[in-house]
Amino acid sequence: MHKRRMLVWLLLLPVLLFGCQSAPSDKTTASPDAVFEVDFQFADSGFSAEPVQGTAGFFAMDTVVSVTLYAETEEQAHGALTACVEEINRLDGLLGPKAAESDVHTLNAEGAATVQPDTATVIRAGLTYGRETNALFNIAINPIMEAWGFMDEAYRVPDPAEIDALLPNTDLTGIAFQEAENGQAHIRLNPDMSIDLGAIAKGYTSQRCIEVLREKEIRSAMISLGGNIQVLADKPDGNPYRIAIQNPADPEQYAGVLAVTDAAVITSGTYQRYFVENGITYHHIIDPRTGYPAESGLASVTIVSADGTMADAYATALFVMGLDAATDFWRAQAGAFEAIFIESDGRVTITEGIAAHYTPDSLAAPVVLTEAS
Amino acid sequence: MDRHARRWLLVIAVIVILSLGFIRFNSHTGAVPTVATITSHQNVVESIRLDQVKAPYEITVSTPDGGHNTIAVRPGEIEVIQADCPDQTCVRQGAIANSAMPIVCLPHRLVIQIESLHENESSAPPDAVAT
Repeated sequence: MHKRRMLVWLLLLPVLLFGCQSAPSDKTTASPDAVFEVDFQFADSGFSAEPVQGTAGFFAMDTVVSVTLYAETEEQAHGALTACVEEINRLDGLLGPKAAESDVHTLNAEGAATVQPDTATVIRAGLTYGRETNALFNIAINPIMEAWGFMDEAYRVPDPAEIDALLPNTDLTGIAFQEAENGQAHIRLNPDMSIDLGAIAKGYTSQRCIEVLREKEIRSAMISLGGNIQVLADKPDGNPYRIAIQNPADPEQYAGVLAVTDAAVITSGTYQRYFVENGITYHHIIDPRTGYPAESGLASVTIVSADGTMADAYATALFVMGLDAATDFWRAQAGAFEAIFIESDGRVTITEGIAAHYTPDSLAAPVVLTEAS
Repeated sequence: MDRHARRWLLVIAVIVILSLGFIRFNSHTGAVPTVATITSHQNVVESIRLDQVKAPYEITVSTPDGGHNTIAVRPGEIEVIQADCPDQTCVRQGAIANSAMPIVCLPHRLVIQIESLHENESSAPPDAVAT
């Protein structure tokens, strides 16, 4: 009964929030067919400090989202979960490529747009990570992703000539970014360019959710956006959260389990999205230098960082780099993030900052990377 | 410590190690109590004790707009064997037997999640899986 009442309440929420407001904020409502079908559950957490465990499960950002948090009362849990769900839907509506009113959709359709502060922040971050990684993290790779059919599941192997013709349209210098009032930004794209924030939007969203939960005085929580994980603090009993890392060769198995506190754990792997044509497997992590799926010898890269946005972007970029270049990159960044690399042959390499928190499971114990080479 | 005491200690240690190994062995090879929960549009359609399934059977779950997923339930595992969704991701995933990777049919808002009913903390599943 309780659950049903909340569902009705959530259905009403957009009306309550936006129903009598005027134009500008319309942009921030989620698309109508989107979520608002949220499964809230409350249970006894078994912890004395935060006795209520609240979870919200729903579909957003083209995936399954779950938020688990611990609170003192069911009321507090419900308030915080609702705020988190709203924030995810709001960002999905801004950053998602499909919602017709999203900033990204408008920018790609018009070639120029004034975008909301969150979109501006994500694009700014995307451009920064692009510069840091010699454009191996590339928010302008969209035309190539579309050619491969990764954006709409109409998979095909493009002609080499087609890829060569599209590569110039993925040059990050073709994106003009100009700060505007109130955190907004004017963005202009060169002709035939388009952007996709899919490789960074989930990281930013989980980061924002953690901030929302902190404002609601939640002391322990875990968010999963389709397997992009971010945790707030420890579990209420003081133990860290235990996050399994998938074995890329067999997603039914864990490579190992990592204990984390206050961190995002985000993996890029070949097994996440791929198709097979004429016996050849094509995965979705495109090397922006070639326009073809990256062949770096890696099967997955997991980034662990207090900054979810960074973790998401680096997971993709370091996958494309391959182990050697990624090792140099990690050393140069000195402590900004930690990583787990799994090569196609099953070898695991881990950076020393998290090595002590990792327990191997189906793959052998990892090689530990130290800061000195 | 005299030799006698040390010998006894050794015997006890061996027994403890063997019995720990036995418990672990048991928990990994015996029928692990697992529950598969099928949800459609956030509503639980069915919860199935996979370890208690004796003979395979099939379930068809229909979506409000007329789509369907046909699910095969077998001892210890579960699989979407046929669906009329556009991407067929759920079918291609094959059978699952543990909590590592739930089956998700996004177009049909269908999720099949397996949970293990573990009794002790040391074999407890992780809190989440980074995928």
